[in-house]
Amino acid sequence: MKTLPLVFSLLIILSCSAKKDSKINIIADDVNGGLELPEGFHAVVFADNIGRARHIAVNDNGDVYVNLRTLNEGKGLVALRDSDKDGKADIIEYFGNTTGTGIDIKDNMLYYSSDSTIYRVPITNGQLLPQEDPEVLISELTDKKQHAAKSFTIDDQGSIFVNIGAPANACMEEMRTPGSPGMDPCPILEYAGGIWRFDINRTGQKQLVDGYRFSTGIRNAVAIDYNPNSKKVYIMQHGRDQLNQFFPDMYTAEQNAELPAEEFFMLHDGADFGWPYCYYDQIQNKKVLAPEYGGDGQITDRCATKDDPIMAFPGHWGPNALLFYSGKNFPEKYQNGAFIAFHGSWNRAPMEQKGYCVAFVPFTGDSPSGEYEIFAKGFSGLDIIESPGDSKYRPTGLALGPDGSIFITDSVNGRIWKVFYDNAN
Amino acid sequence: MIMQIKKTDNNFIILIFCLLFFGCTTDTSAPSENNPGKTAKKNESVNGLLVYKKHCMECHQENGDGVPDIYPSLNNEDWVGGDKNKLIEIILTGMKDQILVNNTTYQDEMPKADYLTNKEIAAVLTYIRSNFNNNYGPISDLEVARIRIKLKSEK
Repeated sequence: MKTLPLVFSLLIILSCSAKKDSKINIIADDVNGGLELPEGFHAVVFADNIGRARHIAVNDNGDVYVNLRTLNEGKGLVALRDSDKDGKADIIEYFGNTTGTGIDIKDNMLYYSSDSTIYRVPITNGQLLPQEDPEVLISELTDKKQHAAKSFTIDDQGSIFVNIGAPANACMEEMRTPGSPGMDPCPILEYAGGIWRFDINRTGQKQLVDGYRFSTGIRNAVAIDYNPNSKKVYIMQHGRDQLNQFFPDMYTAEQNAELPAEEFFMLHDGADFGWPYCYYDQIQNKKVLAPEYGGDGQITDRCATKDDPIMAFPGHWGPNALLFYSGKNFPEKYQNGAFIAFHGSWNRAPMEQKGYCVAFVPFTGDSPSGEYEIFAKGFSGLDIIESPGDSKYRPTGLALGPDGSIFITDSVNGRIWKVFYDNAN
Repeated sequence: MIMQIKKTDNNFIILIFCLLFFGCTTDTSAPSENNPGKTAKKNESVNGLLVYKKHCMECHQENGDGVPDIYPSLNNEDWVGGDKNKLIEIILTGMKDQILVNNTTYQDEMPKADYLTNKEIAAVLTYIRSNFNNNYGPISDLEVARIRIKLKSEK
């Protein structure tokens, strides 16, 4: 028994040193850069006013890359480096001639998208900027202007999964026109409204020649991430709009604000989540037939055979980024869980607008293990958001840093927060 | 702590477990969002406002500001304050072209609203042209009728 104290002392030392490895020694900003976070979490403004930021990727050495919606200084991508490790970028370089949404980095290769093309370019020898011209990995991705953002994720089996959003609200014969019926079958599903899979190692691919429609019935999924723990791809769908505007006798303004759910999907080969024929009603807890296809807000009909979401959020929050947490800095409950950045709604009027936050969903195995909670809020700077243009910041991109912190981008002015955990701070 | 370590192994084990337990449950649940109600704003040109609320507001918003990058603001000189005939035509035929409004490019399609009566279109355009910090003259239902007939004859 004499050895027991020694064993425990060793345990303490080990657990303390493990904690030390995961501790982030930077000084948080006074008001966390405007964010409200759970106790023990802190934020610094990593960079500000970099341009209309979309998705973000972080290299193993901590260098940060952001895709922009509009050109800034004539360039569409930003590279940022925090060389003195104080949590704030001190080298900011613009590069690339395209704008877009998706960006990722894997095995020293930077991947980024425009609305029609995915490019790749090596990042080598600790250089911040690429030293070569980009190659086209995939071109001729469906780009019909509406829901055209090409977000993507890369798995560890050599595939890249690309969101091909449907250029429509509900596949009506006349675009967003009251009384116009839904096309049946919806021809859009042949070339959009799903997640397409491609080879990560082969340049010069084209969507309809080389791509494989991995999952369908998805209206638009800007938020997409591969979960290395479950080895599955997950997405958050932007649900359809305007139930009350097109069907005022069937839906109240309140129902219009809450319905349909923003759906969280776990993809599998051949999955069909039901758009445009069906939507998920999170109050009745079921998929129902869309009114353009004869639905009355209650009946299930053909939707009985569609794949269900693994979680349903309130309507119109606008999920724009998904990140599975595998860092060492955050407490245990965040391991393998999902962070979701909600860009914020525009179509809940006359109710107040919602979203404008980052939510967290705990996971066990491949599925949620509890309810979602709001992780970061305060982006809008307002108590009540009447219109999206009033919001000061809108969260759009998420990425994990090598130190276990997470980065959040803003699409309004291009603020980037670095969020970390330090219980003693 | 040093005092406690000098005690029995059992106490020491409890202390260790407490330490580990606290070390692993430092998370906190985030506060939930509050949800106070809100009342609609009032405006003087009632008829046009009602048409606006029913057919335009969802996209262009109650304040006319639109949705960043998706639907343009209605406070603009080039389109709302520009050629009246073109403005009426946009309502009757919708718009598919990429356009520049207040130095921002918008590319989402606008649906046509030719199912509205000439009176409703005149009222809603007059409402838009005299609100959202716009100060442009009214549009009459006769002007709308003229464009509707012209578009029909061109078909």
